[in-house]
Amino acid sequence: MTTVQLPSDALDASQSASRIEAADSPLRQSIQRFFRNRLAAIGLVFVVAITGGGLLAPVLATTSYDYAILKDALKFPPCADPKSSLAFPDCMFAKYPLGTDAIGRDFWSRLIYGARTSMIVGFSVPLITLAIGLPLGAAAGWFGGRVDATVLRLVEFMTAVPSILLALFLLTLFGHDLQNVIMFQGITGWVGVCRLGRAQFMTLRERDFVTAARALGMSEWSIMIRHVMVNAAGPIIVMFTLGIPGAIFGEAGLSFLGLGVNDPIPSWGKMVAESSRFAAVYWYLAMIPTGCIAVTMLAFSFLGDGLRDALDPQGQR
Amino acid sequence: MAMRDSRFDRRQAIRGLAAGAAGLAGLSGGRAFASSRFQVGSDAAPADQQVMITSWDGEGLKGECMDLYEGVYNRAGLSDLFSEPLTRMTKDFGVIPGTALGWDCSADGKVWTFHIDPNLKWNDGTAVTAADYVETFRYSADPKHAWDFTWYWNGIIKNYTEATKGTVTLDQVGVRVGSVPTDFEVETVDPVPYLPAMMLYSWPLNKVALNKYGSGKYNINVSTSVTSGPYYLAEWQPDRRFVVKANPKYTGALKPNITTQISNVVRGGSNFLRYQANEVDSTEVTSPAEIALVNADPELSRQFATNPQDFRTYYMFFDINTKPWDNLKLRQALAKAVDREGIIDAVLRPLAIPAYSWLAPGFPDANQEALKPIQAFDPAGAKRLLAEAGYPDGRGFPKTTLYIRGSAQVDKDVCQALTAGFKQVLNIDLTLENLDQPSFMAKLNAKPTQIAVGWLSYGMDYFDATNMLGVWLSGGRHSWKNDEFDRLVKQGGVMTTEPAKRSEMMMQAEKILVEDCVGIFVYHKLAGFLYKPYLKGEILTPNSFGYTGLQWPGFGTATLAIPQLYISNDVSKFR
Amino acid sequence: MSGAFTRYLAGRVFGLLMVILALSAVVFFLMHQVPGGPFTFEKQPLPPEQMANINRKYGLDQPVYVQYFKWLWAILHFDFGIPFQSPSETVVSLVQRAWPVTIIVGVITITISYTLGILFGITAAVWQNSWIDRVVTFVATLGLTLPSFIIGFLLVYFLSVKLRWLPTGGWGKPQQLIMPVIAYGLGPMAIVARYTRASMLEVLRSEYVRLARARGLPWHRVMFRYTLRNALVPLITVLGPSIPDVLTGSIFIEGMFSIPGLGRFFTSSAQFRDYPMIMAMMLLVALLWGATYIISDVLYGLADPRMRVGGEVR
Repeated sequence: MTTVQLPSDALDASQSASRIEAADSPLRQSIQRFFRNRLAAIGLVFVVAITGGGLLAPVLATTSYDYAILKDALKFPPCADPKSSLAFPDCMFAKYPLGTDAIGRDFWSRLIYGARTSMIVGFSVPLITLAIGLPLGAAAGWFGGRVDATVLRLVEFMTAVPSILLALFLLTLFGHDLQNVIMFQGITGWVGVCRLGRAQFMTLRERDFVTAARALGMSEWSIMIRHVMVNAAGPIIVMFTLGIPGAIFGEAGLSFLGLGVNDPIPSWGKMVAESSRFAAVYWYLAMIPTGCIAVTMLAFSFLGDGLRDALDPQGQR
Repeated sequence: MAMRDSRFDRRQAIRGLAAGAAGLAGLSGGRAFASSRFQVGSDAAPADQQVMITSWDGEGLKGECMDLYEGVYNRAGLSDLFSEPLTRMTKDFGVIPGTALGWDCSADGKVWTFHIDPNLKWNDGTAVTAADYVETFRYSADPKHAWDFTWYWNGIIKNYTEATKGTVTLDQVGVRVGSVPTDFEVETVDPVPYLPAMMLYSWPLNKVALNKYGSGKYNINVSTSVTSGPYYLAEWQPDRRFVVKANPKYTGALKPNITTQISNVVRGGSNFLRYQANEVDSTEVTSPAEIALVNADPELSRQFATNPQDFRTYYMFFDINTKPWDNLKLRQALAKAVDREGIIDAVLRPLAIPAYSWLAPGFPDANQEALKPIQAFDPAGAKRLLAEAGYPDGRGFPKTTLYIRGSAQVDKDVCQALTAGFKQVLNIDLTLENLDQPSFMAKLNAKPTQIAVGWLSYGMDYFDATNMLGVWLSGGRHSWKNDEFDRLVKQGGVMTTEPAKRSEMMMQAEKILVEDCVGIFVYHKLAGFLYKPYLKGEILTPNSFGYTGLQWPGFGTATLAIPQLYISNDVSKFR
Repeated sequence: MSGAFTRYLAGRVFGLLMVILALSAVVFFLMHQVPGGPFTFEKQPLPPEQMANINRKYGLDQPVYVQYFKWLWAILHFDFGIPFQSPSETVVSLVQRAWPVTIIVGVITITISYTLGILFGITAAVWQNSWIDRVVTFVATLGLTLPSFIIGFLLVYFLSVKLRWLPTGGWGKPQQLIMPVIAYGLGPMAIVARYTRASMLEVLRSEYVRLARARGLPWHRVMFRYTLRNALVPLITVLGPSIPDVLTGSIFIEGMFSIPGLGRFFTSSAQFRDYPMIMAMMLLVALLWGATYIISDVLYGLADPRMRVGGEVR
C-alpha cells in the first residue's frame, strides 16, 4: 500500500510572503501568511467541519450506526429518487436523507459515524508514526555515528518488509479492532517521519545558532528541545497534516482487502470498498463516501500546503 | 428490495420436496437404465460455435491436478472430465447408473458389486475396468499420497482408515476386482445403504498411467493425459486458461454437444462484470450487491436460475463448554430473536430459504415443517427466556465476539443483520470479527475450541442424512456432545432393512440438535446462477422441486448435463 | 573506483544481507505463528494421523526452527521451494513468469504517467493560473483523491460493460493494458504533475533564471538550459523510491483486471499460508528496496562531491 504524500504547490507562498511586514513576530507572520492563502483557509474550514462532525456524531446522527430496519434496506436518498413524492427542500428532511444501506441502516448516520472512525484513524496513525519516527530520526541526525547507523538499519529493515504481508500477519494474529488497524499502520508507517526528522536534525546541528548555544554552555538536551525542535517543527507539522489523508486512504485499502475495522463500525474507507460493486444501480452507496474521502483528502492537502508555506522561513526569501 | 418476483412458489416447492427425494439409493440399482438419447433443439449453433467459456478463480491452493482422487481442494478448472463415476445424479436428485450399469449388495449389506459398462474405453484404446477403480481407491488411502479428503471414506470402506494410518497395506483396503474384470467390489465396515450415492465421487484414474507416473498428475500434461470421459485435455496453463475438447474416441453415455470448454483463470476482479461484458457464459451470483443488481434489472432476472447445490445451511453456533453458552435458556433466547424472513428479504432474496433446522428441504429425512416452531422468531418469548437465563433486558450480558469465517460480504451483512436484531430484540451487544479460513478452522478445531460463538456453513457431499448430521457427532466439527444424538445417527446410519424406522431415527436426532439450540440455523442457501440466453437444454429447466439451472454436482460427468446442454444460434448476438 | 568506494559498497551490501537475514527469521517465525496452515480445510477436521500424512508430505511436521534452517540451507543453493498455490511449478518459475507481467505493467505505467505528469506540470507552471493550469490541477486532484479500485471499477463499468470497447481484463492483448495503466497511473501522474509544477515555479522565480532573462537570452534557451534541468533534478529523489513499489505490482490493479502478475501473491500467499511463496516475496521486496537504497546513495555520492568519500554517506 502506498500512502500518498502531497507536494507543495497549490499556492504561491513567496508572493504573499513578500508582503509581510517585518515588524510582526514570526508566529503572527505565519498566521497571517496562512490566512492570506484562500485555499488553505477553505481547507481548514473543511477540516474543522469534518472533524467536528465526527466528534458530534452521536448528536448529528439520527440513529446509531448499527441500528437496522431490515425491511427498509436499499432505499434511495429521497432527493435522488425519481419515485419519491417529496420535492427538493422537503426530501432533505425525510426519514432517511441519504437513503439506507444493504441491511436497512440509515446511511446518513453511518456516514457521520464513519467520519468519526476515519478521523480517529487519520489523527492517530500520524501521531504514532511521529511518536516512533521522530525520536529515532532526531537521535540519528543529532548524534550520528553508531546511533545513526543503527537507526538506518532499522529503517532498512522496515522498508524491506512487504507491509501488506505484515498487515495480514498482524491483523490475523491480533484481530481487526480499530486500535489494531491504527497500530499496524503506525508501526509500518514511521519510516518517512524518521527520515525527515533525521535530515532536519542533521542540518540544524550544523547551524550557527546551535554552535552559539553550545558556546554559551547550554546542555545538548536543552539545545535540542528549545532550539532545534522549534525549528524542525514546521516540516514535521506539515508531514503530520499530510499523513492524515494518507492514513484514511490506507484504511480504505485494508478494508478493500477485508482487513478493515471490524463490523459493524463504519468508516469511510470501508464504505467505499464495500459498496463499489453496488455502484451500477445503488450509486449513492459508493459515490457519497468516495466524495467525502475526496473532499477530506483535498482539504488536508490544501491545509498542509498552506501550513508548509506559512511555516517555512525560507518562503520569505 | 425492489423486486418481489418469486420465480417459483416456494411453499409448493417445499411440499414437493418433502414428498420426493425419499429412497434415493436403492440397494440394487436400475440395470434397466439404457444409455439415454437426448434431443438437441433445432436452434443449435454450428459445431464450431459450440464453445463454452467460463472463468475459474485461481486464488488459493489450487491448480495442481484435474482429478478428485489426486486432490479435492487443489483441483483446477474443468476437472473430473477425463473419467466418469460409477453413479450419477438426475436433476431431481435421484441416483442413477453412471459407468456402473447396475449394482448388487450382499445379504449382510456389506459387500457391493458395481457392474461397469464393458464398452468403455480409454482413449489409448484399452478398456475401462474395475482395476482402474481399485487402483484409484487404494491410491487415495496411501499415506504417502496424503489425499486431502480421506475423511469421506473413513469408517465406510473396510480397512480404509487403517491404511491411511499405515497400519495395514493398501491391498487390504476393501476394494477389489470381482468375478469379471468389469465388476468392482466394495466391502464396507458396516452396512452403508447410501453407498451408491457416495459413489458420485468415484472418478477413476487410469491404472497404467497412475503406476507409470506415480501420481494422478499425468492428467495436467497434454502429452500424458489419458481420458475415458467425454472430453480430453487440450490446454493446461494454470496462469491463463484451461481448455478441453470433445473426446472423439468417447464410448460412454454422455456424448457432448459443446465441443470446446474454455476456463479462463482469474484471480480477483468481478465475474459479474465479466458476465455483463459477455466474456463468460455463466457466473454464480454471490455478493449482496450483485443480488440487488440482478433484482433491479429485468433482463438479468430473466437469465437468473436458483437451486440448492450442496444444500448448504448457514448457522451460528455456540461452544457449550464456554460460559455462559452452557445455559440452554440463553441459547434459546438468541435463537428466537432471529428474524430469518426479514434478513433474507433484506440481504439474500431469492438466494435463501429460512432455516429453522439443520437439514434443508429436499434433503433426505428433512423435517423442516415439524421443527420450525422450536427456533421460530418470537421476540417476546426471546426476551422472557433471556430474563430467565439471568440477563433481564440484556443486563449483565458479557462481552461477546461472533467470529465469521472469511470476509465474504454476504456473511458480513447477514451477521450485521443478526447482531442488529439481537440488539433490538434482546438489548445485547455482540461484536463481529472476521478470521480468514485457516485461522478460523484452526481455532475451531483446537481442543478445547477457541471459538465460543461463530458463524459457519456446511454443505453435503452425499445424499444421506448421516452426511449432514455427522457434522454434529461428538468428535466432529463442534464441541457439542449428546449421547442420544450419537446413538441415533450411528445406529440409524447402518440400518438397511427398515427405511421408515431409519428416517424416524434421523428425524429424532435432528430434533435433539435443534432443541438444544447449539446452533441457530438461519438460512439454507440457494445458489444463484446467471446463464446467457443462448445456453439451452432440458437440464436447465425447472426440476420437479421447481429449482432451475444446473443442479449439483454441476456441469460434469456426475450429472446428465453434458449430453443435454448446448449453445443456440442466439450466440451470434453476443459474441 | 577507489578502494574506499569498494570498501564502502562491500560494507553496504554486507549490511543489507544482515538485515535480510534478520528479516527472514522474523517473517518465518511470524508466519508460522499465525493460526492455521495451508492445509486447514473447510470441511470436518481430518483425523490427526491423516493431517500428519499431509504435513509430512510438505515437510511441515518438523519444528519451526528446523524448517527455518532447512529453508535457509535451500536458499543458499538457490532452491526456493514449491509454491503451494501453484504446485505444478517452482517458486522460481512462478516468479519468472509472473514478475515480467508486473514489470511490463509497471514500466508502461511509470513511463506514461511520469512523462504526462512532467509535461502537465511544466505546462501548468509556464502558463500559471491559465485555464491549462486549472485543468491540470483538477485532473491531478482527481488522481489523488480517488482510490485506484474506484477508478478501476468505473473504467470497467463504463468502458467494458456499457460501451463494450475494452475487455474487462486479462493479459496478452495490447488493449487489455489500457484500463490498468489508467487506473494505476492516474495517482503517480498527479503527484508528478504537482511536484513538477512546484519545482518549476521555484526555479522560474530564482535569481539565476531572472538574471538569464534579464541578460536577454532567448526564451527557449532559458527554459531548457537553466530551468528544466534544475527543476527536474529534485524530482529524481521523489520518484526514485517509488520504483520498487511499482515493480512489485499493485494488488488492487492486478486483481481488478485479472493480470497474472506478482502483486496478487502478496495477499494471497499470506491468506493461504503459502509459506515458500511468502518467503520468496519477502526476499524479493527486501532485495529490491536494498538495491534501490544502495544505488540511490551511490548516485547521490557521485553527484554530490561532498559525500563522495566512504564513511557516512547520506
